[in-house]
Amino acid sequence: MSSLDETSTKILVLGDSCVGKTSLCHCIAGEPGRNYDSTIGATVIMAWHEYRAGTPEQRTELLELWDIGGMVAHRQAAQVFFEGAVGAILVHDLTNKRSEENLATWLTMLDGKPRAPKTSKDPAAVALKVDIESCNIPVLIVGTKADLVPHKGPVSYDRLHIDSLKNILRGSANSITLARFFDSCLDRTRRTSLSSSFFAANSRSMTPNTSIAGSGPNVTSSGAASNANVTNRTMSPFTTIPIGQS
Amino acid sequence: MEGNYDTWVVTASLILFFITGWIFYTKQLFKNYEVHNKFVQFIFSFTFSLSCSLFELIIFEIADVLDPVSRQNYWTNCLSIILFTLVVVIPIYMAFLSIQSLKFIQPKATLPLTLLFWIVFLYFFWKIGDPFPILSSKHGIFTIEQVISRVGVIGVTVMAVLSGFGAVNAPYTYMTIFMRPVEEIQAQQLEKRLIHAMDMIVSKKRKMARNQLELKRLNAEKSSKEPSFLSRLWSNFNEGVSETNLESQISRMESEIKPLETLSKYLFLELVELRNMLDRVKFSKTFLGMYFNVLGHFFSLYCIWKIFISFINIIFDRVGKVDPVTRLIEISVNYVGIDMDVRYWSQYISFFLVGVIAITSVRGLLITMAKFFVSISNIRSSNIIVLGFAQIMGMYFVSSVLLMRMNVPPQYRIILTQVLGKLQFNFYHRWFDVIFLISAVTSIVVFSIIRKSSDARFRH
Repeated sequence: MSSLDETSTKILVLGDSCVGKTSLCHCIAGEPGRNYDSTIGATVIMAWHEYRAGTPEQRTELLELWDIGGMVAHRQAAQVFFEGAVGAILVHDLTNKRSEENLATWLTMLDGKPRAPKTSKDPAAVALKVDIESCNIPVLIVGTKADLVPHKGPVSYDRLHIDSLKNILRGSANSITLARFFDSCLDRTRRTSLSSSFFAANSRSMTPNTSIAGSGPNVTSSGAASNANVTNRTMSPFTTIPIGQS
Repeated sequence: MEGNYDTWVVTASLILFFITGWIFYTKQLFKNYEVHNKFVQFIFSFTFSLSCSLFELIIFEIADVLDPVSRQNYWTNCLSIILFTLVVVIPIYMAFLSIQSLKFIQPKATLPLTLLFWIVFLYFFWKIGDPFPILSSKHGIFTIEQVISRVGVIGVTVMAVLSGFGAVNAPYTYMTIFMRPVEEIQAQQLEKRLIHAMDMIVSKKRKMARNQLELKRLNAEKSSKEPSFLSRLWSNFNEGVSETNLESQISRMESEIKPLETLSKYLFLELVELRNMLDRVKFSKTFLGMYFNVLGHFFSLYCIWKIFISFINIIFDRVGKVDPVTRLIEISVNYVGIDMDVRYWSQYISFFLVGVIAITSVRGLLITMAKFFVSISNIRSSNIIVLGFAQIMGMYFVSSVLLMRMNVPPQYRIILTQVLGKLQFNFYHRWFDVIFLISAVTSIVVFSIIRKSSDARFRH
């Protein structure tokens, strides 16, 4: 079990103060509904995620969601937490347009490329300005407090509107986008399955995702069995580039 | 014709101040939030414009612009409206918003509760006048003098507290002899410690997450199986042991993680403070920083003199008889030997002085308000806080008009006395000195305590 203790992937959760980052992290981890105080510094919330669910390479992975406090006075010091992250979730408040405009500032903090946060009335223009394609790690943009603005829909397919007080339903568009994002983050880490033949033999022992009452969509009862298969990586099945052992 | 022109001037300036307040609201106060409640914005800008027009009317008095009769009317109107806003409109709306945000109050009960709160507020507002030598109720209840005397007490207290704190804070912030020598390497060491603490938290949470997963798996297996009686007994015994083992491990790890998280918060706050200090040291090496450093020396001398003078005033029960303007003219005529036309120059200088005081106090208050608001507000309470600020701002400006009387020569004092009514002005000056002294001394004590404790922390 000792090698399993080293495997977890760091994902940052960034955004202005009071947008709901801590609630969002607990919602992703499967325990929604509590009220949280303002985060000082960073808190880490662990969440399980089914990597490549439904394919032969399915594995259960552990994610560290680093919920970083967004207060303005702490912003410069918070950059100490950014090191080693493979993905970032930018959170804004759907009832507060300024928080969405400030996402450009957070993106600049991530990769250092200057972006001027200019204000604009058109939601599509504001969305375009936060150009996550130019960032070198996968970025997902999530709008919280969706229950307060039920009339608004997401601007594009890769934006999420989440109500953090409720569970994310399995099979909903939100859960699929989240799963795709976490998969792309995990792809960038130096960890993959063993050769596919080994997994073909074991695939019968993996039961499909059985959700346990009260928990979120990402915990399975066969997680422990599949975790035992994760060891060193020799070759990524998705590229032809051999990657060294981790 | 004169009346029309006067009305136009006053109305135009009111509108100009209103627009300034409106823009300040959106650009500075609410720069991180969306403005949902336009009524609060309106109240704030309205209070701001009325307060600025008070200053403007004083300047008009001294410079003798506009027709005196209409000036008197405008004074009375302006004062009545602003006092009405401060005592009636803002408290009621603040109480209404606060009660609305409380979850356990039924919607039907908000209006009666608001009125109840307002009546309680009025009672305490009235009672403020009792311990002080201001007008008794023999002189009527709803007159301007009664209200303004109480508003004056509160406003003078706020002014004195802010001045006392500012007098100590400004030299402390800008003068380099108070800055602690910190180096980049200390920040890096602190960062290393913080990252180490976070790594420990993460590894413990990993173990805990896997244990929790295992526990869930065991529970699910137990609930899904249908074994025979004996095997159930056996599995209960077996699984029970490993389950309680897991549970005890989980709770043990939780109790280990809590102090680590507290440590990480503490380290992070220290890192923030250290980075602030580094920024200040870097700033003090720039030209602007050196300029502020020199200014800080002069300003600290002025503050020490002010503290000393208010101390003397209280001890010897002396109220300054001579205002700065006349004193300046006296000095320049008697000691320096400049030959000046006293009347012309006294008007000019007092006009200038009042203008400078007005502008700096408006600007200082707005900047302080913006800084405080951005740091202490969150999205839920922003409206209530900004209404509180509007209230403080109104009281602050009304009482600075009151205290302005001390700074102008006697012929203009009469005008202010006429307008503001028969108030015990000397009392307000004495009260200002007392509160200023208390606030300055308290700030010095607090700053030295903070300094000592952070010195002890940063020594290693």
